[in-house]
Amino acid sequence: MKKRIIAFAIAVFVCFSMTFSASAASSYIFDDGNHLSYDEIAELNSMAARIENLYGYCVMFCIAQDANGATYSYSEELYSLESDSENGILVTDNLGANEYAIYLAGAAEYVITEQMENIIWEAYESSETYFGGISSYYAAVETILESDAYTSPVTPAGEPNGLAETTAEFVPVERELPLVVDRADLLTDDEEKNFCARFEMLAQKYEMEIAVLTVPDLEGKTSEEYADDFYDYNGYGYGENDDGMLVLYKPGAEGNREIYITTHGTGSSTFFEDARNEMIDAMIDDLIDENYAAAFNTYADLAEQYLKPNVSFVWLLVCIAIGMLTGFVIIRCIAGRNKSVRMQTNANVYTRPGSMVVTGGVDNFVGKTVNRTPKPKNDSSGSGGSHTSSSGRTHSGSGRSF
Amino acid sequence: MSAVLEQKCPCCGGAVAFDTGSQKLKCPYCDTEFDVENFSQGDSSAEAHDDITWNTQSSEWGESETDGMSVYSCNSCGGEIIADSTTGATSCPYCGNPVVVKGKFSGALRPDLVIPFKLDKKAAKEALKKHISSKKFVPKAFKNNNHIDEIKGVYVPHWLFTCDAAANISYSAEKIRSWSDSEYDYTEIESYEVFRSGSIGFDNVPVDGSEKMPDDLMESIEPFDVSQAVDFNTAYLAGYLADKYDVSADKSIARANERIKNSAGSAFTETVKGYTAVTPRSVYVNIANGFYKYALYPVWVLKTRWNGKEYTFAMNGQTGKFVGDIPTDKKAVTKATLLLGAGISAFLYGISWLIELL
Repeated sequence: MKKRIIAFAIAVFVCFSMTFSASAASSYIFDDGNHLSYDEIAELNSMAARIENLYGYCVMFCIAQDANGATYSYSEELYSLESDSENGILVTDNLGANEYAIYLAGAAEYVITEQMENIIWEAYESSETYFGGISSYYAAVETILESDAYTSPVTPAGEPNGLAETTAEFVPVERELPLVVDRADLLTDDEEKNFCARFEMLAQKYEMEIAVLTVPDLEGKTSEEYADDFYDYNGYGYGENDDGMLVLYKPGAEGNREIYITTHGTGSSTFFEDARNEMIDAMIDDLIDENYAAAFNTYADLAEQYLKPNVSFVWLLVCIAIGMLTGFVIIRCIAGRNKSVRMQTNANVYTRPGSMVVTGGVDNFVGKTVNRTPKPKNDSSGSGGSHTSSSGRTHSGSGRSF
Repeated sequence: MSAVLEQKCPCCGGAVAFDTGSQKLKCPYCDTEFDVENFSQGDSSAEAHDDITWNTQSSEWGESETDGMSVYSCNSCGGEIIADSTTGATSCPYCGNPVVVKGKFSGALRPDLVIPFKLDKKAAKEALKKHISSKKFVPKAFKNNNHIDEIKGVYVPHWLFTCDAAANISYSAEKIRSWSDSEYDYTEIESYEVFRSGSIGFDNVPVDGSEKMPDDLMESIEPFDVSQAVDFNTAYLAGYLADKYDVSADKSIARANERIKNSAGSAFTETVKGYTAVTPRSVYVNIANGFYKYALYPVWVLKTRWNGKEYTFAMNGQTGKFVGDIPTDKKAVTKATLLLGAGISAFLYGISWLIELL
């Protein structure tokens, strides 16, 4: 009983140590003892969220420091406490007792066989780091759920995190992932860190989140859908309106590479279609040459250029032209007053008051013409390519396959 | 017959002049004032025993040279006054006595009306100062070293045309309406033919009857208030210059017609309402019941010379309206244009930055 209380206390502690929104079980990872960094937890959470979105399973992982002998019951307790989902998996690595437990909830009990449990555990064990292990664990679970031609026991609609088709109103979440998510592993850790730092700096300075996402595949979505959904459901964007821009890149063979830049909020007005295309144009060569760091550096440079308050040189010329013209007209008017001698044009002042009589007045209707011109279609210019994503929010975006 | 007439003071025999302040004749020597009407008798009596004629036989002058020139003798000092043949009143260059040339305003040439001067020489000088100082970009030298070469009060002959104008005007008019639906913009143009006819009266439309006076200068100081005009009396001319008309009423009528036609046209165009655009197609204005009067209008003419060019100013001697072109300092204008232009440009550019930064 005492242990249970301790386990409960741990669970509560874990719960509070994660600063998540209190409404739903927004964390899938319980890390007692801080073996994972904040960013790692965030990325793992997003992987779990995706699995839940796709298959309807709440897949969790717990690193416990001390749950002597009661690993399984601790897991059961933790699952029921933390998950709103009927179906799910919770793997607990009990470091104190050097044992593990796999708790299967709901439909998982029937789907996950003992053999599969071994595969799952081995996947976790295969990596040196906790992060690598848990990532592999998620990959293994996903493989199992996918390869079994398994159909989801429940429709994903209305699951926690609002990962779904849009029946319910979209509830913005807080971003847990870093601004650079390199799922396709195109950047070194150092590069990733540097970009993250740079984008965080930009976000603070210009109140706009600039993000990079690389993925190995688009999971059947179009690049636009993928980028929009990733942006929306992971809470990207600065401030109340989630202002920001995210570039999605999927590497591949020639013709299969995809790049998509999605913008939201003021991001859509800062990065017009021209700006987005300029960025894509600037990045494309480096992407083909696999100079990913250079490509994303260009992206960051251009983004900053557009964010910097800037009034173009052409506008300066326009200002000068307008100013000079106005100045010329005003001075001309003032100088024109020096000339006061001119002929009169009429004799209005000599009209005999009340002498005007209109004796005949006819207004004949002659004809009517109606001109019809098609309205100009507003495409390409302006923010351009504005569309509504699956969350119901408005995005603008430009993309390309090459 | 031509002769010089002085308005003699019945008290001291000095030459009297018309005083703008009291609107009476005043003797500058004994300060006695006379009503213009009372003085008229003296005028006619003076005319009765005036028998000095000017010398048409003067052999020194060639025929063409004396064309448009007359020689008079001053009543006070006997000095010889050479003046334009149209000059009706002037002052003697020797003794300064104001003189009215007799015969210039007699018979058919006698003006019907005269508007007496209300404002004096001092007012004209002050008006010029004010006029120049109120203008910008006046060359400094012109402003500071300005001195008046000549200032004279002139009764300028005017023809006053009164008539009824019968107008018959047709217009093409359009009503334009625009709207749009989701796919198209529509513009609907309804065309109308509009006719208007009627009449409108004009009173005392003035036309400058003096060749010497520039027409634009005279029209610029309009309007004069004819209701304050009085029946002509030579007494009003004392102390001023007066010209006889040298542009006939027949010649002047074209100018009056032009102005009357324009006014009648626009007055009737104003009755064409409810249209987006109105264009007159044909305008017929017939003048009926027309008659004209011959009047003298009071004008102060001031002349000044600068950089070899003469600048003429005119002031309405009744209302004080002052006109006259003033030279502009081109350098100052260019400088101001550049400065103001740069200022506005900088302001706009600054605003754009402000908008960009917020």
